Amino acid sequence: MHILLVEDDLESAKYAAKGFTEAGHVVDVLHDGKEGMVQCLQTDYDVLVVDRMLPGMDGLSMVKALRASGNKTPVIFLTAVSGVDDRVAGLEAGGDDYLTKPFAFSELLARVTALSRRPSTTVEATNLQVGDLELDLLQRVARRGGTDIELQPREFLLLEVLMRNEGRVVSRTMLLEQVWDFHFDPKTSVVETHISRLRSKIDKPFDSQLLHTVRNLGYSLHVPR
Amino acid sequence: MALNDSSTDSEESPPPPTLPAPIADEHSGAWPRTESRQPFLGDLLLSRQLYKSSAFRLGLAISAIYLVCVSIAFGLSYQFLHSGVVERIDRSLEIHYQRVLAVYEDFGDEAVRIMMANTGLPMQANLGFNLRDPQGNIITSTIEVEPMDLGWWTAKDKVEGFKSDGSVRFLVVPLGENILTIARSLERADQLREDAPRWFVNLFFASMFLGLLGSAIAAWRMHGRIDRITEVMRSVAAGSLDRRLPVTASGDDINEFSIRVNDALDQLQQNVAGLRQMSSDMAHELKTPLNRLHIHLEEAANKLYEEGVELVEVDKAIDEADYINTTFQTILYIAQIEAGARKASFKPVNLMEVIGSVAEAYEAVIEDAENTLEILFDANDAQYVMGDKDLLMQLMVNLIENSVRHCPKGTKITLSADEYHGEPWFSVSDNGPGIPLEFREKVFQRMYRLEESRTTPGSGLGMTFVKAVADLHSADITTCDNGPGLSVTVNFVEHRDL
Repeated sequence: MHILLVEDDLESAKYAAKGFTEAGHVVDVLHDGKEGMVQCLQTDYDVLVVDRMLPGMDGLSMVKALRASGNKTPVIFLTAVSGVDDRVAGLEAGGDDYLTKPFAFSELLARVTALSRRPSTTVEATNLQVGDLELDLLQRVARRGGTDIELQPREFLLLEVLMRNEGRVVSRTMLLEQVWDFHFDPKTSVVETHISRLRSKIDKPFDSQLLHTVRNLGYSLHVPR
Repeated sequence: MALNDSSTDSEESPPPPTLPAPIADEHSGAWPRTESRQPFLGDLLLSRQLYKSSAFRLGLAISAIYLVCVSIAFGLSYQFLHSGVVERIDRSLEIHYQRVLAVYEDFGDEAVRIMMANTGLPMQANLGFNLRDPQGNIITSTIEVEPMDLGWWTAKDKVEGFKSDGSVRFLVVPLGENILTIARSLERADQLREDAPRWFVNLFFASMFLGLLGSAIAAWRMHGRIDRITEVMRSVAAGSLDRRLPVTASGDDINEFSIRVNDALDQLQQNVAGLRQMSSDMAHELKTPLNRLHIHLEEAANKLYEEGVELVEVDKAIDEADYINTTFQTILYIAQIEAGARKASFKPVNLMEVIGSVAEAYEAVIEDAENTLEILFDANDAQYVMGDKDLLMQLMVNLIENSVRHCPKGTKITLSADEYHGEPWFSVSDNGPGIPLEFREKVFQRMYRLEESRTTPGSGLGMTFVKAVADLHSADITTCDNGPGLSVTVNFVEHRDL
């Protein structure tokens, strides 16, 4: 995957770039909004990671200008100031996701991966399948190996998000945002509690484990490797 | 738990609810809005608001005073006019008497009789004579009157011999041995007495009408300005700090007032902008090193992990760094909320839907903490408030987490929501240890914590956040004893009929 990182803090940029490279991606690093803009018009990237505060041209203006020119590359904003206003401003400017500093690199990686493989909006799948686990989105039924599994509405949504991201890590905060619409960090273990309930329904009664915990980050649903 | 599936599951959620009452109707009952069109005078005269207008009231008061003055002035001039007319008539009677007296003195009794009979007396239709001898027998007469004592008299009734039916003025004087009565019709004074009230009524109503019309026009002109001021202040209160009152070249008191208010708004806008700038500068200056700290710690942890070592100290350091960051972020966030700028993005939010989804998220958490959740609201119900959904959600979560953290196992946490007299409210109650009365208000203070040692997790900002969000929504927040336990109620007082 070809990633462009536009970040003015050299140290953070170096660290993130190293992380992306280790994860097997190709990454270009720039420190200036204007340069970033020019580079995007010349090269076709898979994902852009853009800091909101940049010299030259700030991140928001850069992405706005890019979108105005018809460029649809997915964008993740990095922001030092958190607040719903900032998030909304970012999304309105054409960003697809946002991440508040400081963040764990694994969180950034998880979000970049999720964005880059976001299915094209043409045909929505009505049936998701991971191993012998099946999720019928129309009838809202979960089945594993022919056995119907009864799920609470939020558990169903939680499973759906995990299955759509099969094999990829979905972070705790991504789950909070996508399943519960929580754009803040609750102090109690909302995600852990619901994951453990889901696990007891889709994994416990069966031989193989599909739902895996990723240390310090989140969860991943995949067939045993 | 009695949550209805379809109402909370986003996949199956019903189409976006329509508001029971359009929000744009917030001006209902007020003057017709200026944006749409200038209100016509006719609208105004029919409007109940006219009578609320200070210009109209002032106009009315001035008109009333004016009418009283006019009444007094009219009464006085009537008096003067009337007595003037009577005086002139008396004087003419005296002149006639002098003439008759001169004839009498020069030529004697017979001459007067001849003069009266032959010289065409009465000379005018409104003048009459009557001459009697000392025994009261009529010598000559043009009018029919009873004998009277000497002096001035007025007869209200018709006197035979006069053309008019009105009252008559008499002068009874001696003429030698005889008694002469000269009479003159008071027709002109009567005319005045008849006409004056009619003039007065006409004048009174004309003045009253003009006064009312003048007041209404003044109110109408004033209303346009007041309405624009009201509209601007309303949108400023709603977060549009860049709006200013209109200033014209007229230089009147309202203009002066507008200039002062605009100065205050400039100052307010500067302060809010300054606060935002400071927050964002601080965030940038402090977050960058915090970010690097996080990176170094994470790198260290990864390196150790690759070598098969897991150091608890490193994880703890990461947690501490995160804690610093969270606290810092929350303080900035609360400052942003208190500045009120978020109001500009308020939308109608269904309180029941929000509390429903929070309950759904926390039911399992509360059960796992070996507490119970009691739901006392109908998630299918709809109670709309103007607000920020994310902030309201976080407010509820903070209250619930507060109960979960500070209560022992076996506590019952109760969520309720409804409306009271059209005001939506919700509450989070528990039957845990509660908060002593003297500390109840203090929990909303920044960094305030009940336990002195500050050992349990939490920055003491949770309730400050709750208070800031409630204030932003103009909602009342009350804490009370749940006997035992604590009950926190948020009441959206200004969201009636939304």
